[in-house]
Amino acid sequence: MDALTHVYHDHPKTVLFSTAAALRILLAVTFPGLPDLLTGRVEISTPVNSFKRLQEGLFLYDRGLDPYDGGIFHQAPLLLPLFSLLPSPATWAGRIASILLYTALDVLSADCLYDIAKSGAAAISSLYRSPRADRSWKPESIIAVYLFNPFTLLACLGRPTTSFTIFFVLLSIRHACEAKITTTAFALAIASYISLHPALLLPPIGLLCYDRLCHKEIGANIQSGKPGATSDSKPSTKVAVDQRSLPAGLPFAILLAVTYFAGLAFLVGLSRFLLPSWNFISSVYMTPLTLPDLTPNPGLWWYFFIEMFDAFREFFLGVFWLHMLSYSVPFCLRFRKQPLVAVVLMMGVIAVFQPYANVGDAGAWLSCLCLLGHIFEVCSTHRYTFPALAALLYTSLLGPAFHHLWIYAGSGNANFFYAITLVWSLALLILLTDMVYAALRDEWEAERPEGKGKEVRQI
Amino acid sequence: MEVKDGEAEATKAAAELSPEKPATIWARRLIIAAFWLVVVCLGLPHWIWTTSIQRSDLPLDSMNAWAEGKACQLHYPLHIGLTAPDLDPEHATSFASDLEALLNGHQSFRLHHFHVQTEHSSNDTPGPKQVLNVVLNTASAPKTPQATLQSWGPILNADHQVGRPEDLKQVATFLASQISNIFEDESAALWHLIKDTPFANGVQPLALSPEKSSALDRRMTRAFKYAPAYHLTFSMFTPGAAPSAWDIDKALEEYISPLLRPLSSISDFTIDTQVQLFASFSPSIAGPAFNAEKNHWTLHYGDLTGFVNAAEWPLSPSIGEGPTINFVLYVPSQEKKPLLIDENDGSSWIIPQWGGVQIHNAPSAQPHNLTLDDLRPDMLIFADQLAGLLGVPPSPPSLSLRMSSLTRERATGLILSASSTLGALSRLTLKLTSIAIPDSVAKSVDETLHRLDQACTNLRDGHFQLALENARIAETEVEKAFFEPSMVGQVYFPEEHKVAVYVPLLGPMAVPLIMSGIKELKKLRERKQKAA
Repeated sequence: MDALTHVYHDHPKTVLFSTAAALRILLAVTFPGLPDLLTGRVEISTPVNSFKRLQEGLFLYDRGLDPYDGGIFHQAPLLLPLFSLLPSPATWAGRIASILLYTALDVLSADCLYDIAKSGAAAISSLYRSPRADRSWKPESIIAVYLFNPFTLLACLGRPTTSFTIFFVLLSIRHACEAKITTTAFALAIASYISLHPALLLPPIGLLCYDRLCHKEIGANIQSGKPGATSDSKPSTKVAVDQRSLPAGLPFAILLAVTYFAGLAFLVGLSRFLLPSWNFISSVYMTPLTLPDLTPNPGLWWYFFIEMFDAFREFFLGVFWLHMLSYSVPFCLRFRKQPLVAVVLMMGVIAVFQPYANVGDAGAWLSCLCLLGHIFEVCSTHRYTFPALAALLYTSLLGPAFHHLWIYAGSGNANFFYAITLVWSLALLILLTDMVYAALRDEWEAERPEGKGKEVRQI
Repeated sequence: MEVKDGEAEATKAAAELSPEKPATIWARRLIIAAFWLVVVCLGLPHWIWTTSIQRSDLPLDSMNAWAEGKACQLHYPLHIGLTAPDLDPEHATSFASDLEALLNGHQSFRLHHFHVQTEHSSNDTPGPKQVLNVVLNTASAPKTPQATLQSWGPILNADHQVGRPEDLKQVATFLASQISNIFEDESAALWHLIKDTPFANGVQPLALSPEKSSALDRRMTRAFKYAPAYHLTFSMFTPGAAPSAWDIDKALEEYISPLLRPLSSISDFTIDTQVQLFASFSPSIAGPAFNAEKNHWTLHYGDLTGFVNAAEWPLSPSIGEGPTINFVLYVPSQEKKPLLIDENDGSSWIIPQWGGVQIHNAPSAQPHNLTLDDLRPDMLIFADQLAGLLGVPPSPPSLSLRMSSLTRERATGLILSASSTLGALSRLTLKLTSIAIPDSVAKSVDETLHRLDQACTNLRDGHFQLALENARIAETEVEKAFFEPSMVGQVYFPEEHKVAVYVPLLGPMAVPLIMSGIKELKKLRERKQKAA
């Protein structure tokens, strides 16, 4: 046992990664039916990310047909050449190969998370230093939460293509934390190319990248201005900097946007090169926008649009998308001082409100919340967090049961499952608003240390 | 979040706190502005774009004129040709005008107007087609006047002795009564069609006897609604294994095609046939019973409606476009033969607007193949049933005259129904102000009006075939306009329901947006007042 802890302390990342990978492969080998079972679950596979539908597209693609002709496949075209390299997942080897690919994806995502946590961007920015910065979670703990999160595990075995989106979003955040503009924009472009909704993350991630750039600049200034003094020896919460020495905002924004759109255009062009027609644009990007497939999922859209009058369908599709979109900029404005918080909160908004919501995205977001571990103590743990977590647990057990009752047993109806997805979304939203509260409170306490520990009152 | 103590505590706490920093205030304003920007710049145009309804202008006045029967006075000029080889042209012309006057003065014609032309008067201008040709033979005529109608062509052969020129009056009276006999039924049928519509205004009412009226009613309800295409299905059902074949192709060629050929100017027809063995009766009917007295099997009158086993016999309701007319030939098994209807010993009946049934009671032993000779009586009955189901009038005996009668009746019926649909559409658009009127509807209505005008002109000119074609198109177009799917969806969606659509979702979103907006505006005004 001692030896184990010793090894863990020496190489924590290696141990975590190999255990996580071993767990995933072991699950797939011991229960050979499990990956295919999970692939068929509506909670994990939606019309825009299902591994089964990917096989359909792959079949057509391998035979030189337009994979979007069947009306079943709605995923990004560049996934096709990648997956056509793998052996068919109907065979044992193919299944293990696909599990290996997704395990690698999870491990890489965890590696990104590790770097993000390590950069300390969550608690310290160019304008702000959280009074609780020293309470941040260890990067090892965060990736442990990510890798052993049951939702992430299920998503890995169910192999939805949104795992790629999650990876590229995390990659983009990681590069943003390292203040690399081009790679940030390009990684986000890939994520948007796969799933469309990460486009909403462009403002907060851009802000994060800009902030890290300023932070680096300040660090360099301090180093050059006062040799001998390190940034750690500066305990004050406010960092007074000469504004003129900071990188200019406008050129930065232009560079970011240009790189982003150029990356997107490049990917779309490359896809057109692989495919016989432009059909894929409408099939991949109009599907989340117009919601033609109303297969149930853990999101809020499907039931609403089953019930909606046809005449108002387009209007409410617009309303739902605008609702999601309207948070992007205000979060940046409000969390100007804590850009990573804005990014994580926006990821939460997307995980809850996206048209084809799935458990994998929610699980990844819940793990990302641990990046903000230092402000967990300000959350209303006893009041809201516990009921929310309990509701999450309850819905993850009752959801599949009610879905079974509705679809297979025939003794329930759509309302059973929809009620559960409502509770699921509500629980996630409670966590989200609680985090908003915690982040604001943290900021407020930094300005007014005397208010620490006092109860909130409306005045 | 709780207010534990009174307001004094709160104000004390507020006083303790330092005022908000300008940066925070600006951040809040920017956030509110950002939300409002999305609502105003994206939400509002989107709302206008997706929920605005397009209302094309409809020519309501002309639509109502048609619906009220003011746009067209229905009028049927009938051109009758007179051939009298034994009369000199002068006498013939005066005879023709006498005959015309007699016919037009006849009390049973309100809608018809007769024009009698001799072969001399209709010289070079090719007028409308003559509906009837009268060949008057006076030279070698028998003593008693007689008139015979050719069974296939529209020709009336009349023989009447003419000794002196004064006799011509008598001949005219005789011919007028013959011709009016021919067209009397059509006149009654046309009057029956229009009598309850606005088109009857201004026409002197025609008194119909109740028997005649009910006979016409029966004929109208039995017949299929007019369709541009019909599908005929001839099916043979038998409870056993034989007969398993029939010479239906030859039989159809022989007995049905001659009837369909003239009818094809009115509608299109397609035919298919089937043989179904081991066909059982539906359990809902009692089934045949043996009547020892009459020594045959009988079906009760009440069983006839359930005779066709709709659940098991493969008589699909419609194949392709247009309604299906079913003809069922039932061959009872050898031991349950002959099978007749109990009440009247008949073996065939019509199911209104569905088809006809005929029980094949051939005395011979059950053959494996029904030959043309076996099928002859059945086919004659089917032909008769088909004529009835298509609304072909039962008289006069000449088929060609019956067809031209049917053309006029159908054209009239189509004009009436298209007009009343136009009226319904105009009322609908006036009543439901929120209903969308797509361009396609306006286009269809224009086409309908144009076609109806044409049909009306054609009728008045005596081009009945053209009138029918135009009325056909008018009817199709107006039905297309009235049942436009994008309109039908909103017919039952009143304006008040929109509140129920918008409020539940947009209300909760709008309240914080509007409240915070108002609050900021108030603060802005206060500051301005302070500054002033």
